[in-house]
Parts: sequence; C-alpha cells; structure tokens
Amino acid sequence: MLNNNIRKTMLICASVLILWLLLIIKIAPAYIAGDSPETIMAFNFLGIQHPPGYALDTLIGKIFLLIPVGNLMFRSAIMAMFFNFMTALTIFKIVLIVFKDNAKKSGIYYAPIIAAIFYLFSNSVFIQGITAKGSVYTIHCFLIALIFLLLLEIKQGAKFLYLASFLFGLSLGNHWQSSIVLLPAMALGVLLSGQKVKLKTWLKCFVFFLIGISIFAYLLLRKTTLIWSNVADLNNLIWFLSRAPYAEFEHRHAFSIIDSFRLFKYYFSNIFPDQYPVFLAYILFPGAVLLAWKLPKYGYIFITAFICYLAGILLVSTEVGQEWVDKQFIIYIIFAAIFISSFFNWLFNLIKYNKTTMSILFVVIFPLLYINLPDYSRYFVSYDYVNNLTSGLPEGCLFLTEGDINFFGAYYKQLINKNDINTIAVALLNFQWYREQIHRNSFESILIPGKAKASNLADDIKNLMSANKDKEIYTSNFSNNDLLSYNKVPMGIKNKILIDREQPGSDPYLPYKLYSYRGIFENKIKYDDFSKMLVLSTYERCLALLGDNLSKKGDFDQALFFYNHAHLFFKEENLATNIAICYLQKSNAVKSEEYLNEAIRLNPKFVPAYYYKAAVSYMLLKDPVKTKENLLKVIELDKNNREAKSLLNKLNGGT
Amino acid sequence: MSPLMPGEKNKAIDIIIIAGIVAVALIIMFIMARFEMVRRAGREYNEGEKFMSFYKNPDLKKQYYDEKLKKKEITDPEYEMLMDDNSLKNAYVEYQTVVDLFTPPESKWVKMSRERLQEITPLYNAWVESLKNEVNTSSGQKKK
Repeated sequence: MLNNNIRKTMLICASVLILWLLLIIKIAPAYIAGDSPETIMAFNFLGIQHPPGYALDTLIGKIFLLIPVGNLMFRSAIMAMFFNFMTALTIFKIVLIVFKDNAKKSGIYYAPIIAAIFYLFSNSVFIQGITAKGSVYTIHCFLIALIFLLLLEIKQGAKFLYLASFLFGLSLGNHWQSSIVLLPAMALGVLLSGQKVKLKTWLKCFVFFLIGISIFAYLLLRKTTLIWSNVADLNNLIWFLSRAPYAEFEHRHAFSIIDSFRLFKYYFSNIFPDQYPVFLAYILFPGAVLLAWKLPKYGYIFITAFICYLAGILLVSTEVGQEWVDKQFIIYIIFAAIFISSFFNWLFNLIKYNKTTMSILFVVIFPLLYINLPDYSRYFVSYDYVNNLTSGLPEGCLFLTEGDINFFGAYYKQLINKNDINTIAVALLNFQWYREQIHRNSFESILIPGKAKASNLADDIKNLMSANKDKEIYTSNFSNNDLLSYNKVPMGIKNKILIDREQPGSDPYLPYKLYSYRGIFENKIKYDDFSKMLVLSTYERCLALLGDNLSKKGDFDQALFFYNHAHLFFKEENLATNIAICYLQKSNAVKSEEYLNEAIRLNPKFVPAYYYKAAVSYMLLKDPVKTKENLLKVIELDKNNREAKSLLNKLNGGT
Repeated sequence: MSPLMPGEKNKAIDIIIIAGIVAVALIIMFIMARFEMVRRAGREYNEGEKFMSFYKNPDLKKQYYDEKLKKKEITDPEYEMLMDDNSLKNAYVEYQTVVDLFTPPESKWVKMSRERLQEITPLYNAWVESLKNEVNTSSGQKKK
C-alpha cells in the first residue's frame, strides 16, 4: 500500500506531465525577436549578456544546452518553460500553506491548483516560457516564489531563513532590480512571522547571502567569445550592474505623478486583461481584498510585494511610450495568481460543492485559459527574418547593424552557424571592449580606425566604412539615416553601401522574392509585441521607404505597389496616410477615405489623417461641411496648425 | 553511528521512492520533448512536400489558395502575394528547417528532408542565381 506522500507525489508528477505536454506543443522552435539570440550565444560560449549580465541564467542555460533535444534555440526555450513549472509548483505549495486553516478539508488542494494553473497559463508568463531571454525572468520568478515560501516557513527553524538569504543573494546575480524592489515585502514577511531572529542568526544569514551573491564573480572572471563589456575590476562591475551603458535611455523614466498614474492605468487596462480571457484577471482585486480581510498576515505580505513590484516596473523601469516592452516583468503574476486563488477559496467556502461540481469548474476554466495562449509551434517569423536579412551577404563582407534582432540575429549566424560575415553593432563602437571583441571574433581582419569615444557615431561609422572599403559593406535598416555618410542602395531589408562603386541598376523588389514569409500571410498567430515592432514593422518600413521615394517622384502607381505590400506586413498610421495620399493624387476618393479612416482607427490623434480627410472632402468630394469638420478636428488636436486655420478661414469666407 | 529507527527507516525509503518518481517524471518530460521534435519534423516535412507538389503542379497551388480565399482564411492581397511566392523556395526552406531545427533526434523526417534537399538544391540554387542576375541587371521595371 502506497503511503500518502508517495501518492501525492505521483499525482503531482502526473499533473505536471500532462501540463508539460500541453505547453511544450506550443513552444517556439526558434528564437523570438528581441535579445534571445544573444542569450543563446551567451549560454553556448558561457559569455556575458547585456547589463546586468544575468550570470545565473547563463550558467543554468549552459546545462540545458547539453540536453540532446532539438536545436540550441529550442533547448533554451525548454529551460524557460521548465522554470515556469518550478514556479507553479512553488506557488502551489505557498497557497497550500496560506489556506491550510481557511479551506474545507475535502477541498484543500483546489485553491493551490487554481493558483498554479493561473500562473502557468497567464499570457505573459507563457510567452516568457517559450523564449530564451524569457528564461531570465522565469528563473527569477522561481527564486522569488521560493524565497517567499521559505519566509512563510521560518517558524519551523532558522535553516529556512538561511536558505532564503542564500537565494536572495543568488537572485541578485540574475536580475537584481527585480529582487531589490521586493525587499520591503520580504522584510514584512519576517516581521509578521512572529519569529524573533537573533543577531547571530542574522550574521549567519549575511554569510549565506554573501555566498549567494558571489555568483557575480562570474562576470569578473569570464573573457570569451561573447561578452557584453569588459568587467575587469569592482568599479567596472558596479558600472556594468548599474546599467550605466544604458544611462542615455534610462533617464526617460516616468517620475512625474501624472505619468505614474497614466502608466498604472495603462497596465490595468491593457496588460492585465490580456493575461486571461473574459476579464478573469480582474478577479485578483477582490481576491487581494479577501486575503487581506480573512488572512491579514499573508494579505499584507503579498499585497506589499505586488504593489512594490508594479511600482518598480512602472516608476523606474518603464520608459515613457515604451509600456509594451514591460510585459516581460512577470513576477507580479505570482502574487496575482495567489490573489485569484484567494477569491476562489472564498467561493469554495461559500458554496456547497462535491467532486463533480469541482470537476465541471476545472473543465470549464482550464480549456478557456489554455485556448487563450497563442500557439508558437510554427513561429518562424524571427528565424526567417534573420535568414532573409543575412541571405545574399557575400563572404567576408562587413555588416553594420542597428537593433537587437538585426545585430544579435546576424551575430548568431556568424558565431553559431559560422557564416563568413563580419557583424558590427554600430551603437557599441563607443566602447573599447567591443572594438577588441570585433577583432577576436571576425573571420577577416577588420580595421577599426580611431579610438572609442573619440568622435561621434556618424564619424565612427564613416571611418570604419572608409577603412574597410576593399570589402563589400552592407547595413541593416537604420532608424537614423543621417548616420550613413555614403550612398546606399536598398537590397530588400538591408542596404548595400556604395563607396567608389557604381550604383547597380536594380529592381528593388527582387530581393523580397528570395525571402521566406512563413506565418505572415497565412497560418498567422497573435504575435508578441517584439515580433510586431522589430520584425513585421521592419519589412513594412523598408517597403514603405521604396514607396516614399517613388511617391516623391510623382509615380503614384509604383508607390502604391510598394505601399500595398508594406501594408500586408504591418499596419500603421503613417503608411495608411501615405497610401491615402497616393489615392488622393489618383482622384480615388473612396479608397483614400478608406485608408485615412484606418489611420485614424490606428491612432485617433493622428493629425495628418484628418488634414488629408479635409483635402479629400474639399478636392474630390466637394463637400464643404465635411472639410470644415476635419479642419476643426485638426485644430482641436494641433492648436498651432496655421495651415488648417488659414484654410478654415478661407472656407468661412475670410481672406 | 546509531542504527535507524523503524520510523526513520520508512521515511528514508519514502524519500528514495519520491526522488525516484521525480527522476522518472523528468525523464518522461525529456522523452516528450524528443517526441515533439519528431512530430514537428514530420509536420514541416509535409509542408515541404506540399510546396513541392505546388511547384510541380501550379494548378494545385491555385486550387489550394482559392479554397483558403473562399473560406476567408486569407485576404485578396494576401492571396496575390501567396500565389506570386515561389513554391520551390518554400519547399527548400521547409526541408532546411527540418534539418536545422528539428534534430536531434535524427528522425526519419530529418533523413527524408536531407534527401529532398540533395534533390532540389541544384534547382533552388539555379533559381537564386537567376534572381540575383535579375537583381543586378534589371533597372527597376514597372510593377503591376
């Protein structure tokens, strides 16, 4: 006869295996747009990722790369998903402890199951669980959940506090920002435990904490193929960990009260409801209140953690206008899942239930949550994009890149797939360590004139291209074309630089015929923001640029060819307005209005769309009322728009 | 060292059994992942075969996308784009994907994809070369 613990273990393992099967069939086969190629390369070479370095993630990643299943990208995604499961199991245990005296004995496992499932099936948690970079966050969630579990148990003995201290130190070596913001909640956990901790115990805790944090030594010791920065001494380490290299971007945080409220509103109205179907996410609010009411000790700890973490994301980490990026910070979902389970626990206590009613409830909720998760099993968008980007690059060429997926994707091809190209991240030319790394990793000797920080970026790029003009030089699509001093000719989603070379006569659309577009025109899924912003919009921008050139020349038919192709990849207000302008020039009022309405749908405050709507009404429809309406809208949105004011004045009979 | 008491002995046995169950579960997780690789390799190989059949018989391709258009799974501009897309290229990409992404294990799909790649790579390379020549020689002819 099996004893209770063995039976429970078997049940848990069986459940985990079923869920594992359900989730791995949705995992992406290749990397997702963003930093994932960098993460995988760091795993492979035991390198150093971008600040703060993610030492723990890299070390664990190396172990997972040894598992002989699929390619390196899939193995990394498996790792991320594995830690999602570990976190879900830890949350299960936390909720079991929290409600042990507050649940019916017959249903003691219901709330823990709800919590674990709601965590595992949350949209953001799932997306992080299928990508290499997501492993940073899924490991961190596991560590944080484990620390809170240990803090709930410290009455059982000091060993729990020692282990929590060690894990806290270790977690700093993964993503220290996410751990620091949770300190108040952790301190509250110790305080509310009612356990008096002696000074000697705290000293021992400090020693364990130091052992954990010693993982930072990895950053000081590693010098290999792929390192982000050269962390030679303690000063450099502090510079690196403080993300000083990103200082230029990080001063744009939302520090004003109005911005903060706006961000909280954005989070609660956009990111939260997206986690689960039919507004199930909002259950966390009554759940949190019920927890604080019924079990105040736990309520205070978890609500503090939830608020501290969200405040950390929204007030410190978020750049204004970049809210969509922050879906990767998923730790708050641990606490959200606990709150949701608190609501269900209250519900279970309220109603009379038996195994049948509970089975029905689970059968309704879980498929609902599962269907809400996108199926990434045929996600090739980023993988194909990188192949498209690097296809046709001649051997030994210099490839100057900007943007995460362009640089790390091409670098992945160079370092992992051994493509004979020399990839350069232009934004890093400012750093001496990066210049040295180029020499170490390039197949051919690349001449890098000047010194780091000696001149501005445009000059650095010009000097680099000039010194290597014997090689063929290509660039990815740059956000600021002023950085390029030489002429370029578009070759699909990359450009060929012309130095002392004649411009080839070419059809700019032909390179696009070589590309693979799996999942873009058919078998589409609901893509993550990074895929949309970094991949799909790049195809769109490159094609739209070709359309712009033709539109400027007055060749509206040809411009429409490129604009319409661009529109298939990504829809944005500028493109829709440009298409409308072409139709306006071709005197097609219906089509023009259709695209202007689309531009307004995409951005209701997009002034040019209203302006051109006025133009269509005036020039083609001869409708003064509509013209006035649109001009008034322009003035409402842009009070200083002189052109609109003057036109309105004319329409009203003025001079 | 004092001998284990009966209660402690049972506990130790329980721990060993539980560790064994967890280890078996981890191995099953790994096996599931391997099976998933094989399943995906088969799926992408079949996609490659689909595109090969389109390449050999363009009418089949038209029929396939006409059906998708009729079911409103794709829009008119997407239909045009997909019809214009080269089936040989898509077949090549699918077989290459099987070889690059879905191994280990070296399943029958991977082997069959390698064979297919050997067959079609000369054709694919010839098509790429012709396109490259077109890129370098054309002077931006008008698009319809």
